Amino acid sequence: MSPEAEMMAAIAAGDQNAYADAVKRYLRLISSYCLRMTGNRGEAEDLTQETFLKLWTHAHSWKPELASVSTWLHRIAHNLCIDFMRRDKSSSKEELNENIPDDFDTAAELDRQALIARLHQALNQLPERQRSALVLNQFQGLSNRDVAAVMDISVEAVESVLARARRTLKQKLHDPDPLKELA
Amino acid sequence: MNLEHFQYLLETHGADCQHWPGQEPGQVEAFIAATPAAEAMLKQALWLDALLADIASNTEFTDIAGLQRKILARELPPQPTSVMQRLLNWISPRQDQFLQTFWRPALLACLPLVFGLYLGTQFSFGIEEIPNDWEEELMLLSLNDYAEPLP
Repeated sequence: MSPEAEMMAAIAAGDQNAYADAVKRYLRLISSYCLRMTGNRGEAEDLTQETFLKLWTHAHSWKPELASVSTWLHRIAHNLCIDFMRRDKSSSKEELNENIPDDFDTAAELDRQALIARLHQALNQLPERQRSALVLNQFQGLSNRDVAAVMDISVEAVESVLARARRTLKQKLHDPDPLKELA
Repeated sequence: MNLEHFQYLLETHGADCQHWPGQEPGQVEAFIAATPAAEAMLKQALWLDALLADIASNTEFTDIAGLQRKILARELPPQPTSVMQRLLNWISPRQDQFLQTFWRPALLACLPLVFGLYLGTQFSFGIEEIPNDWEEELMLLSLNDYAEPLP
């Protein structure tokens, strides 16, 4: 039995020390995923706590032949984040939008920080699937196969979604500033 | 490899061409060196990846220790168990020290008895079944003529 499987078996048997070890091992990864998906620290904190609670209550349902613990936890967190985002669209991006400056004029004048802010905004505006796939692949470092397992879609679908997401981001960075156009 | 395939790989697997699937070592590098358009595409993808990496580093929890304390301080609910698991736990409890000390030896002691009962119901071990001939006797009695002959 692998150390990962032993840990999960111990958690399923009610071993709180094994649970604490799992929290220490995966907390940074899962909390950053929730934050990147919701864009709100308070909500991300709640969703992270809920993800680990599900680790405790559903440890027996983890199947080592289907996914690693990390991928399985990402899947739980992903489903919770998607539920949250669908439930509460209005407040989900408030924190990330705080950092976006509105004082740049043209694409040529954008400094790196403004460019990042603009990319951040573009990222937040991506459709749910594109955003999820890009965050899982680019930020969380999951392979396309693992992203497919988390999102419950085929690897081909993940590749298509990732390609569209990257194209959209590049396009939005090169487009004239929408804030300027609105002004 | 052509430019279209190169673009597809770039968009589906990111700018780190070392991790692109199904490529011979050095094949991508040779194609980039020979194709200025591919080099421009790669530069643009690397630029985008670098910006995304900056966003990634800005979207992490700073107080991870505090969050960890909160999660570990939270009271955990009892583990959900299936009917089968509950039955198994009842037969062989893990938690209760008293039951664990006495119930398991008691169960163990019962095993030969259960095994003996099973054997007893399945095999006769050469013992013939005693024929129940009471009914036959009664029938013979009923057929007898008990009437006294007339003088």
